[in-house]
Amino acid sequence: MKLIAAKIIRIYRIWLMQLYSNIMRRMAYPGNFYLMAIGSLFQMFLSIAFVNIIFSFINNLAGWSYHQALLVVASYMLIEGFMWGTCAYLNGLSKNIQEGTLDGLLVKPIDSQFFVSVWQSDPEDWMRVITAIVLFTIAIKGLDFSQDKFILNLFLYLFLLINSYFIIYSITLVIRSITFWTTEGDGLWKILETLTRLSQYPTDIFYHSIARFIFTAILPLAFISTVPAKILINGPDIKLILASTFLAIIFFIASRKFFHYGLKHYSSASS
Amino acid sequence: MIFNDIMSAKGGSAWGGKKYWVIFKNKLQASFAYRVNFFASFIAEGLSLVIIVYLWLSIYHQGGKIGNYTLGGLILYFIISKFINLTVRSYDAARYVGEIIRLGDFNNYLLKPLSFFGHTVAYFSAVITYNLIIFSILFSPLLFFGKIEFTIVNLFYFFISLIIAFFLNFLFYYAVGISSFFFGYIAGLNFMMWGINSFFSGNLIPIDLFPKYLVTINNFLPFKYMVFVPISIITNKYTENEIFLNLFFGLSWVLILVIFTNVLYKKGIKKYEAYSS
Repeated sequence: MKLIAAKIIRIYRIWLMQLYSNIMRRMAYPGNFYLMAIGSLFQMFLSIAFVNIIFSFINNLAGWSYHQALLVVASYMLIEGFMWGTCAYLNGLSKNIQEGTLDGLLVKPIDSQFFVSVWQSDPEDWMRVITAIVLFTIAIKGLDFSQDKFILNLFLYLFLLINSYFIIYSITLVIRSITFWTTEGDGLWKILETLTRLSQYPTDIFYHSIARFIFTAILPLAFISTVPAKILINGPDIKLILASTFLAIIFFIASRKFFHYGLKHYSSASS
Repeated sequence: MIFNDIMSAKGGSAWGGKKYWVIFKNKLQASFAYRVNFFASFIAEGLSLVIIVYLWLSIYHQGGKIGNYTLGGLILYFIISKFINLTVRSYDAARYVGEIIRLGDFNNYLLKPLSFFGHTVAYFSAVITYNLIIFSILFSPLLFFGKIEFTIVNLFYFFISLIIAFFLNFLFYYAVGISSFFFGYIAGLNFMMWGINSFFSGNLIPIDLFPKYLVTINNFLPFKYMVFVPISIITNKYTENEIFLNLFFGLSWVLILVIFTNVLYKKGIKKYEAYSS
């Protein structure tokens, strides 16, 4: 037990140091840092404007009220912010494979997948998380919650967001790992980016059963932001919570295996 | 004569068309050779179109009525908007130009008798030509099955509006790119501008569905000529006079942006410090 705790503390320290080094690197361009932060604010305003325009014509969107729809957008923005802030959608992995410089990261005495993941993060994107929290607060204020119910739902919501993070992270790792074979992975990244961006809409808009099956079972977009928002609004749903947890675990294990399989095909160009 | 001035002011010697033709030709050949990213963009935009269609289907499904748009009209709007996105929009120009400046490769353009502006225009014209050829073929069935009642004259105006849209987009992102002279790394600025551009050009929602105050603000900005105006032309929303007026204003914005980027470039080059060898 002590050993595991020590390992976690070590990983946490390395992550903090990496984050610090990334902040230093980004602060070499302070203008960009602040513009990115302002850009995140703009993104929030545009998201609100988009939802406002849609709701100026309708009262609910596939059963979601205005504030509930805002909650889905906020949940998506939270996940997106965490993904950029912690691992920059694994940008560093593709970059290192393409430039043949991955060796430098692989020889470090730490789990390769973890180090490759956190090697590059975009600290300015933590602003996205802050703006998402503001949007989340606006959405929550418009919804009617009793105090005790809200705390339990919020706890479950946060738990499901962690699952969402792992699902998105795992899909990203698989897509990025394809670069081990193709070297050029930008195209696939574009598809992934589009798919993740689509999870800012409630997946209930897919009223055809085939479309709903594709976007929940095959591509689990529903579990990214719609399901966490649903649990926060309606309370616990054991089936959904278990499904989300199961998917997160399966996706994570599968992506880890795929990454290590891809590593075997890595041919360095630097040494 | 004016063109010669602009080209030389933007970092090169007098206009020598042949070298830019070579850049154009090389990039066009490269585009035909590397098709993976192209098809990936197509799939990505296709997926995004499916979701947008579902979003609006869901709204109409509940009896919602969106402005003067029928459901078919709105879906057609987004299909044409995707076509414009895939063909004439040049988001990459900002990153391309910004990285050349930031990483010091810009030195080449200072030393060689080659206009930086000319090089970038030739490069992205090739990208757009390739996209236009391929996507016009892929989207052409729409002209027959999409129930667009257009005339050859309309198609001609649409083509002109696409060229204007290309130059507006290109100049807009080129200006963002050369801001690298001042900010170094411009990912943040690019991200912000991309959001503003997508929203105000009518890429996410038709501009005529915006609240009145936003429509008024947008009339004083160049964005609507990038997506909304070309769509309105091909879907017969404008009278001939309105088409002329919109093309005129679009063209005026191109001129304004040419002057603006020129000033920005001249100021930037004074700040530029060559890092690489």
